[in-house]
Amino acid sequence: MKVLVAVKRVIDYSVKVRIKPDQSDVDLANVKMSMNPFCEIAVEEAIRLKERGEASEVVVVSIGPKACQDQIRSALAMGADRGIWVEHDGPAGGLAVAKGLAAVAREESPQLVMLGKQSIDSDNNQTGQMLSALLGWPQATFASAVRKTDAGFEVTREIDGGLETLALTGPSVVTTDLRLNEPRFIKLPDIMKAKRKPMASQTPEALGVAMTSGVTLERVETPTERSGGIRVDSVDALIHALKHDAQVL
Amino acid sequence: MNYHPPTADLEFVLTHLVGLDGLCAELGLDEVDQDLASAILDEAGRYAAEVMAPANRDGDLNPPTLSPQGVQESPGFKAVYQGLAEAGWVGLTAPQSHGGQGLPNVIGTAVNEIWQSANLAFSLCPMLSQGAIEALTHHADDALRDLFLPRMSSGEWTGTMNLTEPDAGSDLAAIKTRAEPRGDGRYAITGQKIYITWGDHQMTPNILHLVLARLPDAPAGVKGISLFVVPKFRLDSAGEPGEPNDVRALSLEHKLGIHGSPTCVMQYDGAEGYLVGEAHQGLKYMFTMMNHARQAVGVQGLAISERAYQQARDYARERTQGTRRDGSKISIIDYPDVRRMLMTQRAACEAMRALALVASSELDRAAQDPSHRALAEWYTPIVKGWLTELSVEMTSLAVQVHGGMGYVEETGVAQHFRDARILPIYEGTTGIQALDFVGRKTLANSGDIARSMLATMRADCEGHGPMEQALNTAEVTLAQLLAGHASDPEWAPAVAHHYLMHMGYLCGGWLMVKSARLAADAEGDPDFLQGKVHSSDFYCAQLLPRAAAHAASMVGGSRSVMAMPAEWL
Repeated sequence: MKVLVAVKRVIDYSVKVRIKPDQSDVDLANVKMSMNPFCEIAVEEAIRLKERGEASEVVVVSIGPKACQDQIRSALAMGADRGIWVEHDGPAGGLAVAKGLAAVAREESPQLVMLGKQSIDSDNNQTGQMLSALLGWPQATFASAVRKTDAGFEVTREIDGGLETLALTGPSVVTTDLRLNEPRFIKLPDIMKAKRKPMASQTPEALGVAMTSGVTLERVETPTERSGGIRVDSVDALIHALKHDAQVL
Repeated sequence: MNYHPPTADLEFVLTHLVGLDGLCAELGLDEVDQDLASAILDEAGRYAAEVMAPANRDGDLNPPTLSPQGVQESPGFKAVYQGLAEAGWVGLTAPQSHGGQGLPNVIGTAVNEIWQSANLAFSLCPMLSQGAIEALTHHADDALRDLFLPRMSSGEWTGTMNLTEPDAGSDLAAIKTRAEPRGDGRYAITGQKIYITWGDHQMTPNILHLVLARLPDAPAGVKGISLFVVPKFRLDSAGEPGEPNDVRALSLEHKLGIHGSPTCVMQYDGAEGYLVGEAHQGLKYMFTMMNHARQAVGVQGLAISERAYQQARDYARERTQGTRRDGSKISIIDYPDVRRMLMTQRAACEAMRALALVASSELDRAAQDPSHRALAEWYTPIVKGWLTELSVEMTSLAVQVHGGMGYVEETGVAQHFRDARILPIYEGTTGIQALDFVGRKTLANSGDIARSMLATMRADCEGHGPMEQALNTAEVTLAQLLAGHASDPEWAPAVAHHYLMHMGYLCGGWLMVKSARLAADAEGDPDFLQGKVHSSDFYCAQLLPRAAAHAASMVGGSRSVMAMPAEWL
């Protein structure tokens, strides 16, 4: 079984996000970037499938500028077998990325595509779902457990009411939630070996995909700072304040 | 008490001051570059912050214990060690031919800073293994190397260094431990060694002790000392640990700090050992390792200062005292005196890091090209002496920032202060470093290396007023030292400490000014780069003047030091 894992280069979770002076976008110049943590969980799960003997090959794909090779390398150091870098500079919405990934999936024909459920930069939570629709494959999102079955996969997913288990038949798309696993510490020899693992480069043109975003980013603002609260003397005063000042009742 | 690895500054120093890509090309390491180093530092930082750092306080509160079964290390340390070894970190600089990764020393130094900040007491164990690996790599014959090195590079076994005896500390010529040939190519080692760091533990199935001892036909003094390797468990015919060897930890020291590190008195009663290299060459072998070992302790000074700084800074942000007119509380970080203390720590850490890595890269060059050896060796006593002396002050400042809470063990900052206090002592006290610096590294070459370094600094700091002034003073000071030494044999040893500190502050100024100038043209996070400029300005205003103060203390030589008769003290 071949597993294809999509990884995204995002602003590191520890960085205090800055906005460009013209408010056109988040300022990414010279900012520490890392693999999206949910993608890391997807890579880890794919490698565990391989270590259990259920997967034979783990292929990592990323769409983005040259620098996203760092994130592919990092996945290779974790234990993925080879990487595919689809070169694209500039913005790309979830749909364009899903189309790109669908094209790669059609070429690679994996039995399983794994993605993080969302990326910590834009938090859209769309790419996996759109990819599933484009491929016409079953999907299970927010996975907290993934098991290989004879027919396909059994995935436990986290929903508002608790846990739900879905059976997927045939090639499938699974997006990972936080509690699926804890990504491993990478071994030093594996960091060294990752440099020698194969990484192919692709272009959207060769894949027949137009990486244009259908979304226009109007303006980016920092969240307004929370103003200080007020203290009320009684429940009646609280209800009055909620009704008239906050106007939420 | 979280630890955040200073990877941005480590990478800045490696890129701009060390020139890592160029260094690796010089060393013929085509697979190693800045990108690889960044990946390594990120992953080391993750293990340090998430696994090693949380165990730091556990080790302080639950020191190792001794029972008839040997030393039981602090709870939790075994898992931390196994994770470290399984991830291949112990063999980072070990030769690739024997299971190591063959990375340059300077990357090892950057990673060691991270380990030592996270958990100083614990980190001494893998650091000593690195020392043992180095000794065996350079001095053992092929048979011994094949027998021991793969187990050491993988971290499967750990190593120790057994030099000191009750009557042989700074003076190793007085070593009494004996080694009797057994006739089968091995030796029976008998004697007592003290202050043996990580001398025993239960984390690995075997421990290799490197031991200095005398053969029966040995000449007296330093020329009669040989180096042996003694495993805790004798090896069976397959090379696996078998019967216990006749070596054991007799007792554990109660120490001021580094509680998590077992400091053992080791008793050898005819223990089976193997001669490393040739007979009577032990001290010479130790000297070849000394630059690494001493610079490594200097890095510990940087590491503990960085950890203490981070804790003080975080506390100063959270702790409020006083109220503004608008009713808002004032964080103590906004008080100029607290700021002064934090800036002192910050600037000192940056200067120490720059010097430690630049010196360490010189060791890489020296290993390849002997013409770099003299400069690498010149740096060693400064890195060891200056960084560790600073660490006591910097960790003390971290306590001070905490006020009364700093003196209360609960906050954990006192541990760094206690842990730091050993650093100017072990691996050659500051006094020993100062004598080495003045004698072997300065007078022995008539000040040539110092003069050429001052010229380098002058070129790098051209037009920078405070540094140019400090360099003028340094030139006069060097001339006075050379002249004073000619007239009075006690002159040099009496001023040695001040000369070492003088040169330390000067080297720090040089690299801080150089960093600020490089930062002005560098690409990167603008706040970080501007921070380098602020740190450099602060250093030159508040720490660099100490170079002149130490120089002033040297005027007059030994007169004020030795005038009072010893019996009046």
